[in-house]
Amino acid sequence: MAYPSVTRAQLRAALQLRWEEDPFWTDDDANQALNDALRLWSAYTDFWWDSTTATQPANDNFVVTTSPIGVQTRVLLENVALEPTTLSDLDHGQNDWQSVRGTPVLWAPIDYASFVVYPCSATTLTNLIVEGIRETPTLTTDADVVQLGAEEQVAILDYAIHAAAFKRGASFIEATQPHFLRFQQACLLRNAQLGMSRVFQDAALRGQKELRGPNAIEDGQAPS
Amino acid sequence: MTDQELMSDIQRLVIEPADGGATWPSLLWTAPEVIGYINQRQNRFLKETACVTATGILVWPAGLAINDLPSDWIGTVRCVWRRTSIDNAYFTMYQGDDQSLDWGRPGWRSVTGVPLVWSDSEGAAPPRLKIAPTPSVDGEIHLVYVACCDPVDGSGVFLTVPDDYTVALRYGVLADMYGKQGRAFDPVRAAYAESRFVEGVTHARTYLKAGPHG
Repeated sequence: MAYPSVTRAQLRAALQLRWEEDPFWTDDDANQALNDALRLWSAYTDFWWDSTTATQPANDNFVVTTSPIGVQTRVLLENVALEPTTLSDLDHGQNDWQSVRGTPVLWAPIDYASFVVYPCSATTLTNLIVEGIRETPTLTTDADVVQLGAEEQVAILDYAIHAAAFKRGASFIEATQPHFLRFQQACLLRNAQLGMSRVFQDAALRGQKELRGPNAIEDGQAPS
Repeated sequence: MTDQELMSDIQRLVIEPADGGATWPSLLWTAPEVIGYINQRQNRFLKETACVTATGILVWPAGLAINDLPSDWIGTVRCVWRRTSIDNAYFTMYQGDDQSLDWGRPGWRSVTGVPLVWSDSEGAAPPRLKIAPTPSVDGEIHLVYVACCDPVDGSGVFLTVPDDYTVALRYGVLADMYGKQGRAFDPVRAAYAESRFVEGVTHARTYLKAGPHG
């Protein structure tokens, strides 16, 4: 069975059912909230992957990636994955590493669109394959399609409800916090690395607490 | 994403007509004001995350201790000395300051050799880079640095912050808008928006610090 896909119109209809077609939110508001949710989902979960080719200029360790890759996560040369490292490790591990020439065996990210290889080739390499997170698909028309399973659609709708609430002020932001929490927990399930962030640690702890239910000691309500 | 798209998104959230930031009929904010917020927040996001960097080479004659940084510099990520006058060898440098050199290398001011430590002076105009020891031969400093964003002006300029983080950027701008003293002041929404901006910064930094992932 093919992976489920959904159109913007279908996602918006599902969202509008959840806010009872309140006339305060327009179709444009819903579309914006959905695209916001997709952007965050992609950034937080590395959900949409792709690969592209990149070129290492002759005698230059620095390689720039281009669309459609947003964040590079893996680099291959002739179908062999280069070992990941960091720029700091290269700098501190071997003085003058940039003068070494040869077939690249290590790569280290510099920022979201560039990385270095070690050693670099003395000739131009055009066959580096870069895998990474694809630029988030933006839904611009109602017929635009995005691949999302049913469980992911729930997370997207949860965030969209919370994002749209900003327009109505503090009480609505507060009231939709449980939706935001569920979105964060869904992200955390997909990407354990998020657990390094305090924001997502809090979401995970609150999720565990919800599962356990009220606890007088934890809640500071134990009789003295 | 362009500045006009971002401003339309912001306008929808503050109940203004979404017209790419051209008009703000509530008179709570003006277009130049919002454009200013976008530029400031972009630079802040870039500086705090180093998610977009530039490279540069400073030609550095022997005996020179201080040199101007590139005009678009807002933060240094990496500094390497290249001894071009002898063997083109690269030398790793470490971030430090005068005090650490005073303690770690007494007499460093009168010593020349291979530069080992760099420090940048944000307060100086133009911003400058200081290295120590002072190089005894001609060379180059190879920089990886954070450059300020391409300034937006409401004409459809592409944002410098990656698309996936424009949500965080938008919340940063909303924090400034609702934090403005006056009729628009809404401390609760300003605080919430600020927390969402920080969330985006934290996430971007976490990913870059963690290195390759998958």
